[in-house]
Amino acid sequence: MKKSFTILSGLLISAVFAASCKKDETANPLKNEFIIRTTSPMIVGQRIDFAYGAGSLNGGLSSMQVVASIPGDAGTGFETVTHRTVNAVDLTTTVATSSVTDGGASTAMLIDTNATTLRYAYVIPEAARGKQVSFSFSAKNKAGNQASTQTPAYTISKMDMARNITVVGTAAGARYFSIADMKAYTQAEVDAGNLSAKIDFVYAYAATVTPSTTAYTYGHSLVSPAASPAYFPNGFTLPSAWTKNSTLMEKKTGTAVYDGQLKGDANISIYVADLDLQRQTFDGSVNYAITLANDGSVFMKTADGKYTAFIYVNSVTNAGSTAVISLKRYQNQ
Amino acid sequence: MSSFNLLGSDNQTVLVTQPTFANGLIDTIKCTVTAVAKFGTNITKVKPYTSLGANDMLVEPFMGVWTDFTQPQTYTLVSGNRTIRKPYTITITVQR
Repeated sequence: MKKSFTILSGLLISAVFAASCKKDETANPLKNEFIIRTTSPMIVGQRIDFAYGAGSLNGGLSSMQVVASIPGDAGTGFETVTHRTVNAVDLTTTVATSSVTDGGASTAMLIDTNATTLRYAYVIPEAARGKQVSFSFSAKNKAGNQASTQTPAYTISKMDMARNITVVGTAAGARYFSIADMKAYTQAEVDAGNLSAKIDFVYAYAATVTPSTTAYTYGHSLVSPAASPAYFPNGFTLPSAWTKNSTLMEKKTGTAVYDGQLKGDANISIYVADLDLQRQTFDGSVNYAITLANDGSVFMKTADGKYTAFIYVNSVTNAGSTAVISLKRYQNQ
Repeated sequence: MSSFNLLGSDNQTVLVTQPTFANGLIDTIKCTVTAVAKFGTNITKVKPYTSLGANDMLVEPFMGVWTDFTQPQTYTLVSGNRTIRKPYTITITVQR
């Protein structure tokens, strides 16, 4: 009985081995896989980063290709090097002779290697705003085998982003900000271009203000042109001929709302997305946000209702009456 | 009521001094709370919070929702056995 069991077990193992050998003979000797490295919102002008790897069991790789459903902007393509980390140091080795992008297709011709991973960056074009984009990766080896894989469809944000805009709270400084233009203007520029109707807030700095008899902390502030004079530094006035918009504002802080993309932080997995801007309500909001500091932020809605924006304060400097701000802007309707 | 606080849209206190029974800004005899909000506070949109003397006490209506404190607001503290009800009037003035 024991002998029979041993024979049966041997036959079973042989059968499994034969079956697995047969499977290997028909399997593609070229394997491939991708990972997406971007976790934050995909915004026009920004990159989507992938890593695409392939390995061949029967000879060297010859090329890697990716086809984007919507052609990317300049800068889209494979790197020609592969990355690895040694003792926390990023090291690279050249593995491709060329990297070419033509329309939606990017191709890298590989040097003699049986397995490697290349990074692929897709620079999001205007044509992709609010749409879905997907990617088809493929690799070939010198034996003529081909392997491919398809990514899911990724939705591109509708919002825009602008980072590190310096605003200067002096008489000649660029302190008049247009959310539509995502730009700070000086008074001379606003006058010359007749831009006052586009100005959504004024950046101002003063240690304190004295609206009546008592001085109160003021600091770095973003104030609608239509706000009460009490919320501007003492002595500050806007030209009487200017259009004075009333922008709704909801002040936040870095501990309550955080955006790694705008901050330029290593942790970009915490962010303000389209949905946050769509759902932000302004019931009972005021038209000023005072005493802002580093990592402070303000949700804003323009007077015409066209834009909802998230303004992030990267840094403030008391001595120069300056601040560096970044913003995300969503066009309503 | 042992302490009271008001938070703004940034989830930070808007009060210059947080009222407590100890600092006299909460009067448990007159059932009043008085406080001063900082310059620039949007007093029409703040969230009130309070500390109660015992875990099973209640406040009516609920706090922790956006509330307009332009005018004094009344909140009723209800004892644990639900037999004693003390309406507190909370008055906030904003630095101007």
